[in-house]
Amino acid sequence: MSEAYDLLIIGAGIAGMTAAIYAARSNLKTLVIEREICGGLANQTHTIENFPSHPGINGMELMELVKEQMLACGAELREIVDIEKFDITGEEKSITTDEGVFAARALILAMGRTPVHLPIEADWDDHIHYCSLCDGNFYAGKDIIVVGGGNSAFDESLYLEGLGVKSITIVEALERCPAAEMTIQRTLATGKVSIRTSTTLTDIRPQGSKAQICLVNARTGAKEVMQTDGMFVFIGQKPATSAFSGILGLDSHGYIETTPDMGTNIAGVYAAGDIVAKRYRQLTTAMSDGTIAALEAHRFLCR
Amino acid sequence: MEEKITLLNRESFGEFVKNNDCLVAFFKSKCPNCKVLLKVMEKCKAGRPEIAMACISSEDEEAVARMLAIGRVPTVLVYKGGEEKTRKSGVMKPAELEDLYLRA
Repeated sequence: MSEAYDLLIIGAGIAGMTAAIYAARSNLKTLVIEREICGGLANQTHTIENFPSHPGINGMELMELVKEQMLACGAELREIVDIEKFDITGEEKSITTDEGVFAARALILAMGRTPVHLPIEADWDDHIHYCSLCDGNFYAGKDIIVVGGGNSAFDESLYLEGLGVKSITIVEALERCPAAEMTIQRTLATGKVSIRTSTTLTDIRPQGSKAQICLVNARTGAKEVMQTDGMFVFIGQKPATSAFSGILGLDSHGYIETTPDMGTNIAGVYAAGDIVAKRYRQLTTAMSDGTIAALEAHRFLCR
Repeated sequence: MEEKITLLNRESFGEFVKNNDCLVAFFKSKCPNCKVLLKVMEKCKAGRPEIAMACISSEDEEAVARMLAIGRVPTVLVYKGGEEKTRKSGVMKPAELEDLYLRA
C-alpha cells in the first residue's frame, strides 16, 4: 500500500526545495524525499557571495532558511531515505524506499550531483578530504594540496587559509584555472597559495602522516615531488542519474535532457537543478528550474 | 521518528563510555557531513533504541578529541565493556552504522 501525494520531489537541494515551496503554495500535497539532509552541495560551501539578498552567507545556514520556509508552506519532508526502486513510466509514479512506497501523478527529479573522487588509489584515505568545512581545522600550521582549479577549489582554499593552514598548492590539469579571476586574485593575495596549472597528480606515496605527491606538467613533461600533510579534492561533480539510464533521455555525461519547461520524455516527470543538461549550474539557475518544474507540474495535474 | 542522541562533554564522556556499550560520534557544528551522520544516528536509534548513542563536539571538547587522536569528522567510535573496539570516519547509512556497532 502506497502513500498518495499530488507531487513527489526527489532531492532537497535548492532546486527541490524551491519546487516544494511553489508546489505547496499551489495547494499540491507535496512530499520531498532526500537521501541525506536538506541543502545539497550548497551545504559544503563556507560562504556564498553570489546569492541575491545575501552578500555573504554560510551555505548550510542559507539552506536551513530555505528548509524552514518550505516546511512552513506545508511541504512534507523525509530525510535519510534509501530509495530502492523508481516506477515512473506509468500514469502513477511510485517510489519504493526503506520508509515505504510513495506515489503521485507528478514527479520532480532534483537529486543534483555528487563530488567526483580522486581517481588514484592510495592507502592514505584519512588525509584525502572532500569537505574543508569538516576537516580543514585539522591542518592549521600544515602544508596541503588542493586538487582542482574551479571556483570551489579557490573558495575552499580561502577558507582553509583562514583556518591557519601554512601553505596551499593548487593543482589544476587545465592550462588555466577556470575559477573567477577575482577569486583567484584574492586567493593569491594571501601569500600562502601557489598554483600549478597544466599539472596532473600521478601518485601519492604515504610516509606516515605525510605523503609524497608526484606531479607531472603536461606541457613540459617536468616531474615534481612535493611533501604534504593532506589533500582536499574539488574536481567536479557527477549527476546521480544511473537509475534512469534507458528510461529518461540523458546526455552523454548522464545529465537529464529537458524541455524549456523542465519536462522530460515521460509525461508528468520533470527535472530541476544540477541534474539537468545545461551550461550554467548556480543556486539561482537551480531555483529557476525548480520554480518552472513546480508550476508545470501544477499545470499538468490540473489538466 | 527522531530519537534523542546524548550530547557529551569532557566530564560526562568517560562515565558514558564506561557504563554503556555505545556509539559515540565526534562532530563539528558547521560540518555538513556531521549533520548528515547525526541524522543517520537518529534514524538508527529509532530502529534500535536499545543501542546507546551519543555525540561530542570536537571543537568544544578539543582535549578529548586530541586525546583520542580524532583526525577528521564525523568519526564514530564503538565502545564495549568500557573499551574502544573500532572506529570509522565519514557518512554512513543507518544500516552501516548499526552493523559497525554489532560487529565490534
